[in-house]
Amino acid sequence: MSFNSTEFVFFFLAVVFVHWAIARWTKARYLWLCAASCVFYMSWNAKFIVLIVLSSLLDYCCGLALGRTERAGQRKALLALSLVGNLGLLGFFKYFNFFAENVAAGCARLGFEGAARWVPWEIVLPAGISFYTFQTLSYTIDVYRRQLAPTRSLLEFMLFVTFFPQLVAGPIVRASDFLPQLARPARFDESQAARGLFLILCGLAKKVLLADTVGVQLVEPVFARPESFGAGGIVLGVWGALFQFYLDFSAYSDIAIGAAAILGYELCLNFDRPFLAQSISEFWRRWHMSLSTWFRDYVFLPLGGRGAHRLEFLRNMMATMFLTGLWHGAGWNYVLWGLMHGVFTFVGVAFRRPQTKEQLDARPLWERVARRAWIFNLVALSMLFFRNGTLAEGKRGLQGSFEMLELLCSRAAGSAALSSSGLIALAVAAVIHFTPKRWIHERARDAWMALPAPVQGLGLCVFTGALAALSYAKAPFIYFQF
Amino acid sequence: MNAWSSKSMRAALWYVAFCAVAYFVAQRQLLGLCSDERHAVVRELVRGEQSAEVLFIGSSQTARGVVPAVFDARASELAGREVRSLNLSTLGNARHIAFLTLEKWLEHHEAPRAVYIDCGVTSDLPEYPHETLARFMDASDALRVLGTHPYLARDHREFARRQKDPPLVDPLGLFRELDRRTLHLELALDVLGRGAEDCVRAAFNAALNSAHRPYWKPGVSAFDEVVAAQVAERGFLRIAPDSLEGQEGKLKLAAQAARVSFEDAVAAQWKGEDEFASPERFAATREYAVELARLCRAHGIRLVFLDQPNFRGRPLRPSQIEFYESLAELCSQDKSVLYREESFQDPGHLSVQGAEFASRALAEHYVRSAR
Repeated sequence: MSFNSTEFVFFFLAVVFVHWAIARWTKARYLWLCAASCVFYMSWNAKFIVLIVLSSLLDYCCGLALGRTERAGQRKALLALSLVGNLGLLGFFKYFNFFAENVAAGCARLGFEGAARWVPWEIVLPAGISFYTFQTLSYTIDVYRRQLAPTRSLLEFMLFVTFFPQLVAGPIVRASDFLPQLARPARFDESQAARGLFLILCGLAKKVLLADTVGVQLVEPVFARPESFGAGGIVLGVWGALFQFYLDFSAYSDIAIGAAAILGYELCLNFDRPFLAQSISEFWRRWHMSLSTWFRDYVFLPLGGRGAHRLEFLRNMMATMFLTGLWHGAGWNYVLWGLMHGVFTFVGVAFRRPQTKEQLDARPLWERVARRAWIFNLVALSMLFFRNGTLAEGKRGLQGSFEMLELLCSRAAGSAALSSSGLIALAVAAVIHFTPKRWIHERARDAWMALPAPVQGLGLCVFTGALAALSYAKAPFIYFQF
Repeated sequence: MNAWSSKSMRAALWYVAFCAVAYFVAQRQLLGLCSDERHAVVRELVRGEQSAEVLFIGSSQTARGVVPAVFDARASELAGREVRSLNLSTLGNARHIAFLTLEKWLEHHEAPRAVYIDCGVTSDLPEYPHETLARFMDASDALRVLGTHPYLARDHREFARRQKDPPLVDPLGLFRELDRRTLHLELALDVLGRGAEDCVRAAFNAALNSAHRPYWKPGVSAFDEVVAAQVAERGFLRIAPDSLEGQEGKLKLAAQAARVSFEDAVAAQWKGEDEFASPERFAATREYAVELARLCRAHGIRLVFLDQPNFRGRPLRPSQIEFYESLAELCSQDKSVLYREESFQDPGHLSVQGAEFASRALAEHYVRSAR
């Protein structure tokens, strides 16, 4: 049951109606949301709900135990238990075949004949495992660090983990942000709900009208047959891929945040117009913010952060970005993508004087535009590697990425024409992205909120009907596979 | 603030209302709000003045596989008297629709001498009552069938779905057992729930029929012409080889020919699991075959079950053959002749040439076995 499916629309309506009908009974409301979240998750693969329950129980119990003991050894053991349990599950389902394949390939090179015959196991990746694992881990680590008091309510903890808007593809919610919201009495906030609804509409439009059109019409053909499109086509295809990823994932985040807002909860912002970034580090403050802050707080800073000297900074940054790349998928493409970002960030930070946002914004317009274009193209270059390892139909691996890069550098001419609808969708996406929010987004939101309820209802009906008719075979959200 | 009095909630309720209206309009055929256009030809023929000595009732395989004019010419020639037949087939026809069609025919006409009922792939059609409601002549038929034949609500699709998605780890067989038990519960709930749902649909049907709407017309401008042409051919659905459907069919045919050799197809025997013996899946098919036999006996009609050919495809299962032969005659088309590529439009349907050949063969079967 994807966010861009008709089933989800009616599922969500049912959840909202019942949720507000039983709003005064707190436990019943949590129970309802938990049950709805489980149904939502089980619509993908029912049996994997067991993993979520196990992971949640482990961290709930570890949290409780951490709250009861002051002995450093025991606390460390409990933290280790949580880390091993959660990362063990993630490692098995997501990375086992990757590591085993590489070990087998290495052994085969050393002359072990049996290793060459090794066949990857058929392991199905449970939906959202990367997201909820990090979510539960952050809870235990925060409790271990005494930054958060452990919750006593299993129901509230289960709701924190399974809350369906963010369960499958984020944002990665922190317990310190979510659990306090559960302690507050439920109060319907009209403006929050209206904003939430508008965010959902924006997300659906982004996904169905822009991301899927750019993806199907522009990106897929270019990545499938780059030699036909030449260097110019590859540039547009790679820009398209970057926009497709952004639109697709930020659309999911918009819908998740909007859906949570209608239910009365606030989720953290996940994207903040990332292509306006004037440096790579700023890019990461605007792109997949819940993940980048997670790695910052739980990997980069504990490793020592910027450290005392540049070499230490380089080590910590590369380790963090290596893991960030690996988080996205079990493939060398992702690792390379992460390492590229590590190098870009290191170079951008270590050899320049740190500047505040005000200082950056005070620069002349041409310089800001040039910086943004430079950063955009750096990120797009890394996306070339990322995209080739992501979608099944374009899975060309590292070799394919280097071939595309070679074509790009040779400035080869192409014989095939790019799809005009794909280019138009890309142009529209770029205009919306680079235009100040108050010009389009806020005006559209205000106009929407001023409409009478029956007109809004009719508009929603026409809008969702049109999206259903226009959608490209209900293309799933890209980040589901991570 | 009370959520229910908020503007957002009112907008949501309006949304649901608009969606419900849109859904009923868009899905009116599936919901049984109007008759299925596929039944239009049969309806015209049944209510018309034409009489027939032989009726062919079946699915698209029969609609596209029996040419009444050719059958009549050959049968008349062999019998030395005029023989007149009609093809009352509808696309996707399952056994219970065949029963209702014959029953409706008998209400308006004298009993035919013989009825050929398609029993090949149509045995496999897993139809819910609500999917077939729209094909019935009127709402009373639907209600009567639901009242008298509740086993129609049984369905095998759940089994298929679950088999595709077995549990990952199940050392003690616990999940499978749990699955089996919940499936029974689901099926029970299915039957209970669907009965009420179908009554509502049938009520809509009744209301629409009372407004004298003969049948729903889809948004295809050529619909009238297609129906008129099929009625003029007494039920035979002629697909031009150069039409889009004809071209697509030929491509599928070539693919099937590359997969299965002529020799293998002629020698083919059903070797897989004999699912027809499973009462869950084929309950309605079996039950209505018995009903058809009973109806034919009561009216003195010769019943023949007709195994229409697939191009080098799956033959009838041994248990199917045994079952149909226990009820009536079973007529299988001559595969060694019909498995030629030019006889087919696509792997499931005869070409016009194949249909003419098959119709002559059927005429010979009819006259020969009548003696």
